[in-house]
Amino acid sequence: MFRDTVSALCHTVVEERCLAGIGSAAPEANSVVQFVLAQHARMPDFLRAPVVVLTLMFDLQCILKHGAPFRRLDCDQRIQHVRDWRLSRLGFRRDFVRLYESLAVLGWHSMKERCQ
Amino acid sequence: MAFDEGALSVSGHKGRHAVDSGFRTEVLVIGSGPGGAITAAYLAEAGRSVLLVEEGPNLALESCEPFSLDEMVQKYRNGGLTPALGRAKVAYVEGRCVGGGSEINSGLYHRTPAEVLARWGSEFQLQAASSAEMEAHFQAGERDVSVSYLPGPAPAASLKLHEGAVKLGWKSMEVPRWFRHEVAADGTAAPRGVRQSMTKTFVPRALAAGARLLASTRVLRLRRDGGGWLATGERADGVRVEIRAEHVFVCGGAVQTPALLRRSGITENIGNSLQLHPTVKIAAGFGEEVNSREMGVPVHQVKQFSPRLSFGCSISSAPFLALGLIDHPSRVEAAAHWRRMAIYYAMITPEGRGTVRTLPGFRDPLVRYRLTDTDLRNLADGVRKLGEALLAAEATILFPAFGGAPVIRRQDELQRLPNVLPAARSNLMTIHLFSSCPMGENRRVCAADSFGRVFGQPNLYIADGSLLCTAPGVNPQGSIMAFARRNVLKFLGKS
Amino acid sequence: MDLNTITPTVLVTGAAGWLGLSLVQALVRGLADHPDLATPFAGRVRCLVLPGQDTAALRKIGGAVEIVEGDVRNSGDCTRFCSGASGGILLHVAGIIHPKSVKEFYSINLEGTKNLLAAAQEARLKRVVVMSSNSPIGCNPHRDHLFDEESPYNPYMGYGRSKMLMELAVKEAQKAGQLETVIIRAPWFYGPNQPARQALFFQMIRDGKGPIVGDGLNPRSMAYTDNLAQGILLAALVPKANGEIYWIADERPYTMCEIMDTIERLLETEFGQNCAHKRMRLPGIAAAVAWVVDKSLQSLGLYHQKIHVLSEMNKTIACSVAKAKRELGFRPTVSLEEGMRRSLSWMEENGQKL
Repeated sequence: MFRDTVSALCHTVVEERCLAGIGSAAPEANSVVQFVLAQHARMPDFLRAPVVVLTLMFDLQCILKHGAPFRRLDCDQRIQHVRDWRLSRLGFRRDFVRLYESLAVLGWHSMKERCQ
Repeated sequence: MAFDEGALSVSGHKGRHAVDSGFRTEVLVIGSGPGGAITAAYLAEAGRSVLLVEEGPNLALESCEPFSLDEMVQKYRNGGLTPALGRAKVAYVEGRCVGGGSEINSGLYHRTPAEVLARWGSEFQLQAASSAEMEAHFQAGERDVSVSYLPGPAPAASLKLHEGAVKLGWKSMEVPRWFRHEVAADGTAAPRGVRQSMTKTFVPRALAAGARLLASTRVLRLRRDGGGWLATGERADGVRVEIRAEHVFVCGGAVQTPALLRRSGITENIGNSLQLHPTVKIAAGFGEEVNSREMGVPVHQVKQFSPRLSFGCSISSAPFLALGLIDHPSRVEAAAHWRRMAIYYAMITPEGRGTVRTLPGFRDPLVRYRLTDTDLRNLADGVRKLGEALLAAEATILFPAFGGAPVIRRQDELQRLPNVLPAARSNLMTIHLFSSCPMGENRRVCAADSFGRVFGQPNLYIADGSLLCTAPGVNPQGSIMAFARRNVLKFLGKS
Repeated sequence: MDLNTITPTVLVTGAAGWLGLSLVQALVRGLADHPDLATPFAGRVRCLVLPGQDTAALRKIGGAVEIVEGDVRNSGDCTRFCSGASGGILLHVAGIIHPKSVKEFYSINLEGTKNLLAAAQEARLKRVVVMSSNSPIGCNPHRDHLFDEESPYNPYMGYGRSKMLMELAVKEAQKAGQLETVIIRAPWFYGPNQPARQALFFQMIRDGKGPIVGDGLNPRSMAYTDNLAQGILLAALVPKANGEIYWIADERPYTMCEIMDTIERLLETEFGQNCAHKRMRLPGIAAAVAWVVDKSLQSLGLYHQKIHVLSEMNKTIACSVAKAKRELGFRPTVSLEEGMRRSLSWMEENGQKL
């Protein structure tokens, strides 16, 4: 569930922040997902579990609003949910989105640069 | 000679509980960054038996593109995901490889400013460290790592900032680097050369003089052992390691050194006064191309408001530019124009202090850092002044990199920037950390004496950025190198 | 370059099956869709069929087709099938997807493949192209996700697990170094030579009983048999494919709704069928229940085709063919509408009743 949510989140970030509707994130985004999961495994050990918990919260919170967890939503709904958290008054939500956005954006553009 | 993992005989059983206890050395140096590498080289060259232990892998400087994702994965601690927690989080990075931070930084060199040394003398009662007394150490370091100016033109993005500052009548300068330049063939291409990191200089020097290097080995604890020390740790493959040494130099950097000492029960003034240089960034767009894949390292710094504020140009590769625009989600398309963009930073010398603590049951230390209101005001002021210089250099658009920041196109729009950087949305980062174990004779605040000898712990020394009494306001590696040399010569009785 | 220049013999397992027939046809008659495959293969085509299987269609294809009766579960049959074919290329497309019991997944898909690999090695075959499936990789984590060749194993039930173990056995054989191997992963395929169960699917759509589970917008990759044959033959042909895995499917995935709408449209406008213009809509929970029942049955070693198919109806199973396009020169020229048109025409021509 954690991995699936990270995958959905990375695809959303790539779609919104890197492609902006000019293409489909898949399947190039798959390597971004792998990078982000690998970075999660590298982060300081005391932060890993909280990030997993927060990711699952992020996923399941969608059930209240959209009737399905984040990873089951279509891309537009997912982009909306990411925006909600990005603009949240709660700092941990903004930090959460920023963490994944930073990693996915950096991963995506590094991959693109390597390809060229 | 360098040892590969497992090159030494392993006593006990192979497997999870295998213990390699065959190490004995006169001097154990823990950490191979600028502090450790220089210490090890001078000790070995003086004929001492030296074992240099490094937690990270032994990789060549050329093992990856500088400032790339590969470098982050190979050579940064925790893949670069290391935050100092507090009301304003500061993302910091540490090198974790043979050569430490010197393998991943830009190589910009500054001496410790005279007024900073003077303040360390008065506040921390740091002895024998006036500018005059440090002169020989600075000179030696500059020679050893070939500190030099660019032989050709600086990168366009770097010159832009310089140009803007000069127009405003501000002091701006090219900063020399530890770099061996090759003369550019035709004078137009960026001059090539090799950064004189520790794996290019002091690590091979230490090895040539007979020091042994044990990479991918993490020292977890130090324990008194007769008159000397017993260090226990583990190799990356899980084999436990025991090292007996008469003298131990701890050179793990401003976070790992206090973490190791605290884990070993040595806590007096250890890890209580961490300092760093928080920086806030601006991505700037210009009417012409200022960036290229071969841009190289920007070298100009604006020192008009130093030590309170310093400005410079950052690594501005396309991936980092995209990252720099992350606080402007509606500007996705801007990243496509990366050739006309570059990233600049405003750095402050803060009042804030932090702590390094170990958490029971966890491997990584907890780093906390608290910025003061003055710091947040200075950061906001830094953004505004940096923006001013960039607009003076005919930047057409500025994207300050903090949450909720306005996009700026004209001088009058700079007033829309806040007077105090919003702590929770500040998105600060730093690559300069120090002062977690200050040196000096002031026993109230110092962890080690004026030459890095840990108080109350015979034959235990610190030799890295943790010793710097306060934030120097300039890139710290020059200071770390000079003090490492000074202190190891004192140890050898040569000063 | 074409197959004639690199091998005297091509061996095909499952040759009398749905995909096998299309493959042998493509081989013997050439595949106009791709310049490297347009020339008919003039060498021997040795086909493995089950004892007693109807081989009329296979014989009708013509060319130098030899038929060998045998079962991949029997290692002696495999040895006999491969013997004397040194330097040949084996296209292993035999497999079981809807068995009577779960045990058959393993005896046919896993043990059968191992038998063939051993026989191929012994007979000094040049290369083996093995047909795998999407099932070892499972379902996509979200709807806009596409599997690529790096996606991790996450096998879907007994079939997926048997195919995963089969892939691992192929990788083992590759490591031994005496045999070139290529793994092809294909999703749901469609096209001429289809078995009767496929006609039922078309009838259900015509009669307004085409099952849509959930919103029906879940994407599914499908592979038209000639596209798939093209991928398999390219995998046999291209030197650098050795040791690789490729997803082979139509250019893009289709949603379940799109699939049924396309079939309905063709039935009505081109094949003179009156359609009910309805779907059997089932809530997502139906698939969830079917999944639980399927899983429980399979854990008891039992297999029920309809329940299994229902459990998959609302899942996203979509892959990217980018690697095959890049490395094999794969060009999936036929897409859903044209592929379904050809399928329906074939049914008409071959007397399958709608």
